[in-house]
Amino acid sequence: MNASIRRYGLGVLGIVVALTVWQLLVTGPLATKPFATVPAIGRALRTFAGEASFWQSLGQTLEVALLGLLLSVVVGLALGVVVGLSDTAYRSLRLVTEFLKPIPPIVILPLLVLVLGPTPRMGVFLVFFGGVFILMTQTANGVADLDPVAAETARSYRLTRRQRVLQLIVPTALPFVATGVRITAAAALVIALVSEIVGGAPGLGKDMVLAQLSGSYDQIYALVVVFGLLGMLLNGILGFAERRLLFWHASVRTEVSP
Amino acid sequence: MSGTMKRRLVLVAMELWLPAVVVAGWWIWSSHTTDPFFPPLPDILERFRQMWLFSLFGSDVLPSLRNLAIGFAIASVAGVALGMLVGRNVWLRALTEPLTHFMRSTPAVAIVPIFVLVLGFGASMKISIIAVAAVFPTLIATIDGVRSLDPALGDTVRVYRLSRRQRIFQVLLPSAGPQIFAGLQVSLQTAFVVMIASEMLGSSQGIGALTLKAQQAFEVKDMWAGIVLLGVLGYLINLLFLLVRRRWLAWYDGARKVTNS
Repeated sequence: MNASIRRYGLGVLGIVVALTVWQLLVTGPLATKPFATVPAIGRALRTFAGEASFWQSLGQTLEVALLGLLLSVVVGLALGVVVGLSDTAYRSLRLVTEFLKPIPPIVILPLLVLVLGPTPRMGVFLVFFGGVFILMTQTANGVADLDPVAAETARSYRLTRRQRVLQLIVPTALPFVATGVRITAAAALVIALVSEIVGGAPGLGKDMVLAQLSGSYDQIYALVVVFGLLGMLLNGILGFAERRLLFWHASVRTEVSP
Repeated sequence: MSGTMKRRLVLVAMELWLPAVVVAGWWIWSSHTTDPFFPPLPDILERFRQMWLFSLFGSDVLPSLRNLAIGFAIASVAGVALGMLVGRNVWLRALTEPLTHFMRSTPAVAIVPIFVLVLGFGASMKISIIAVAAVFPTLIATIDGVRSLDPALGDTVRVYRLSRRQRIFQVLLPSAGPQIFAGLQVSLQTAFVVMIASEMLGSSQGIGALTLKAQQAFEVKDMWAGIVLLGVLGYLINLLFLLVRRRWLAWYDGARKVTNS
């Protein structure tokens, strides 16, 4: 108890020290450079909170990230199950996915902007491209991880296809899928912002570029704070959800194979 | 003998047929379509040769790769060194934890406009933003790796009275190696994305800048040539990393294979 209070205290102290150093730097040696003071950034954040346009931009960014994520989960899962269950499908798709997987979405951004324009749809597709291969390979690995004994047991008990999928394949693949979703979801927000900052789609990222063009430094830094907090919030939610899911999974596994 | 040969041929054919169909299909389809956004594949490859082999290689490809290499090198060394320092010190870790997590959660591309404002469009801006963005995955992975040092190993180090140097290079670094390399891989991907983003956001030099400019000017073939080059580079850089990783972590992969079998 005492130790955890000290830990949090030190964390808060770290933040205070960082803010103080920033404030001293931007009012002192860096005063003529494009920075903003801590109070100015705080004021900009308060102004954002009262502006409908800020919340609308936030909604647009989140919507693009979530839609793209949803799409990549649905398609990635479907493809992953097929690929994980069939050796032929696995080998056939391997080279194509291995080539496309390490290519970051920003590479195809110019093509998407050309075809779809600087629209939310472009952002959704970019998020989709960034996630679908990760989810597909994660799911395929998870499905292929099927315990041979469990698979044969299912066959001797003549489980129906439906039972086999729901009671055998899904529980086996779930932790792999959960890891894939966590990686993809964290990336989804980043890619949505890329589609706005570099691709010009509407949302918080575009607001940031506009703030840069108009020289509103306090707004730029306030938006960076918003992005950081959003990312932390997202990571926190995903970590929590995954712990719940894996906990459940582990309990099932110990029941199946003592 | 011929049976295994045949089986191997079938396996190779199974891996190769789809890529072959995709390329052939793209080749044929793009040669017949009138869609202005999808020029014939042979034309794209011809533009690729004209642009990158090698008339713009020295002026645009090499500087991009140099920025990437320097930025990633700085990030790797700084990330591992800081990670060792913070990971071994409870106080320092508690002090910097919220800050590190905030910085890691901030999308790297969002910081690029700030670096442009402060440092302009030159190579120093690009190298700095690549280094700053890429440091966090390695930093956090190193902290975790150093923290999870086997307690028995720590005791052994104390009993044998290893020097600080020996402790760092012969115990800490190797034992955290697998995690450090996992972090380095994410750092490298981040560095590559930020390299492209730093060129796309206002610079006139580099592969990213040329590709985005070509798109804005509706030079569709040039844009495609840029996308193909960036795609191939993204693939090759990752491949190179995996080769290096395999050499450095051969002992670890070998040990794991033994325990798993």
